[in-house]
Amino acid sequence: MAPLESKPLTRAGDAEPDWVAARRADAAERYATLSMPTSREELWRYVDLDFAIEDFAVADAPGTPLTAADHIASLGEVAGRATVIDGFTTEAEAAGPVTVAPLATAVVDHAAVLRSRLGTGTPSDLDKFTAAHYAFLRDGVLVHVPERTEVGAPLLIDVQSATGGTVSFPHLTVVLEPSSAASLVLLYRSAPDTPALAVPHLETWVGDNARLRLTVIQEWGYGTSAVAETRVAVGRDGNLVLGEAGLGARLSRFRLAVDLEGAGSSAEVLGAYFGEQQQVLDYRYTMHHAGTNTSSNMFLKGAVEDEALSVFTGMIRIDETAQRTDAFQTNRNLILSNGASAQSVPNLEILANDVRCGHGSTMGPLDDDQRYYLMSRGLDRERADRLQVRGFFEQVLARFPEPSAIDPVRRSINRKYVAAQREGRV
Amino acid sequence: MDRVRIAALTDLPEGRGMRVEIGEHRIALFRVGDDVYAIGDRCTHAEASLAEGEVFDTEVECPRHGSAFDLRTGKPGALPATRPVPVYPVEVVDGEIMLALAPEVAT
Repeated sequence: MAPLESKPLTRAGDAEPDWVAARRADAAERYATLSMPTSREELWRYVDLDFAIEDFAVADAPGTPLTAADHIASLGEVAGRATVIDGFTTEAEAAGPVTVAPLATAVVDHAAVLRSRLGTGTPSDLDKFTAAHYAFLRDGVLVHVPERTEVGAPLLIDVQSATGGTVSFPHLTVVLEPSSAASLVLLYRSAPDTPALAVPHLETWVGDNARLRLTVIQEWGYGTSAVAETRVAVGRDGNLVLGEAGLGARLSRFRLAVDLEGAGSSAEVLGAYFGEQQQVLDYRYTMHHAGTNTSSNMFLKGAVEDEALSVFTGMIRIDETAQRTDAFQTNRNLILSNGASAQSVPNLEILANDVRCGHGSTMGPLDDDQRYYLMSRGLDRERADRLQVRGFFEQVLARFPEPSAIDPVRRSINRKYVAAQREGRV
Repeated sequence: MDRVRIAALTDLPEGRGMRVEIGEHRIALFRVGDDVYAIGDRCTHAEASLAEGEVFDTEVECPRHGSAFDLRTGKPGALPATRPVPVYPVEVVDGEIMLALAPEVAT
């Protein structure tokens, strides 16, 4: 393992393009001057970081791959797949006109696609983590779907932290050219007790009239912290459906920024998360309406048990130019134990005067009336509560964009709740 | 009785079911320790797949409405289901799961 050091983003033997080197140098400079965010900043409110990025080293080579996951088996045949281990892309392949390539070779081979995009979605000076990402990133994946191409089977990106004590900065660039369509499943994971830090970035462009179904499953082990950035720009009449499942990590920070840039573009953002024990799940979502006639819906449901903490802060920003926007955000939380807590902060920032926009957020324990009803039908209390938790999540899971990915998520949430019941925490 | 090989014992994960279809038979297999159980996969209440249910000791809970079935007898232990699911004779021979397609339904 090696200390943090900014190294060329290319495979040995290839010269790093100037534009990549320049962005990397710029980020390294910002990394040196920025300090770690604190909970005094609004963007990090509620969350105290108890580690430094320098506490972790960088892997010299990819570690031992994790074993097969339910989440992958359930997808069946895929149209393309990539595996990223400890920040190194070990596998990338796709059928037909679709490109799935390691970023380290794509910056040379697909420079035309990447040059105008890589690192432009999330500014490297946003915070110390994003600066670190662009200063130290070693590899990642480019997914490119050409114009008017509909990809039938899902595309899979499996991002793993395999080696304890390491930090990795995988970078994923996804480009759907106009009038194309694809379903992408992104799995973030690590073994149950791997003490690691992952700072993955996903930058996505959904072209005019293109449709992206994006499923993000976070199943980090309990030793792993993750600070993930996700950015999606949607073109004219383009559509995004995103489903995120938060099923792990010691600390999972997940920031999403969707830009509805083109007129008539739309997005549906779904989320299901379950916080166990002392986990911290921190969601910061921004839905930015820039084009006219754009519509969006955010719908997140979460549960926390034991001493877990979840945070959802949602922002709908409607530009002056974005007349006739229709936008909504909903966040519902189940508090399953007395020591658990959830924060929910929906925000609206509306600069246009012809819009429909709303938000709602709730939190509370399991419903006594529903429990009473189920028990009156002959179910014992534990069973009745399990059913209620299942029903709570079903409303959002059933709408996840990749049907074949839903079952393992459902099972994982069930298992977590059953474990909490068995150990007397709920 | 004729027995068919279904899978190796090691292919059957602990704690969750596996659904197999053989002809008209839709079967849910479960592994609890070294024991394997095979029951009809359709819940007798609303036909949900029991292979997707959660296992508690020797009982599986239907994922849809919470009916519970005993893996050994197929009998329902909790409403809303009232009728048993069939049980298939199953044994492990040299690490292979062998199943007889002769379901028995408890009365």
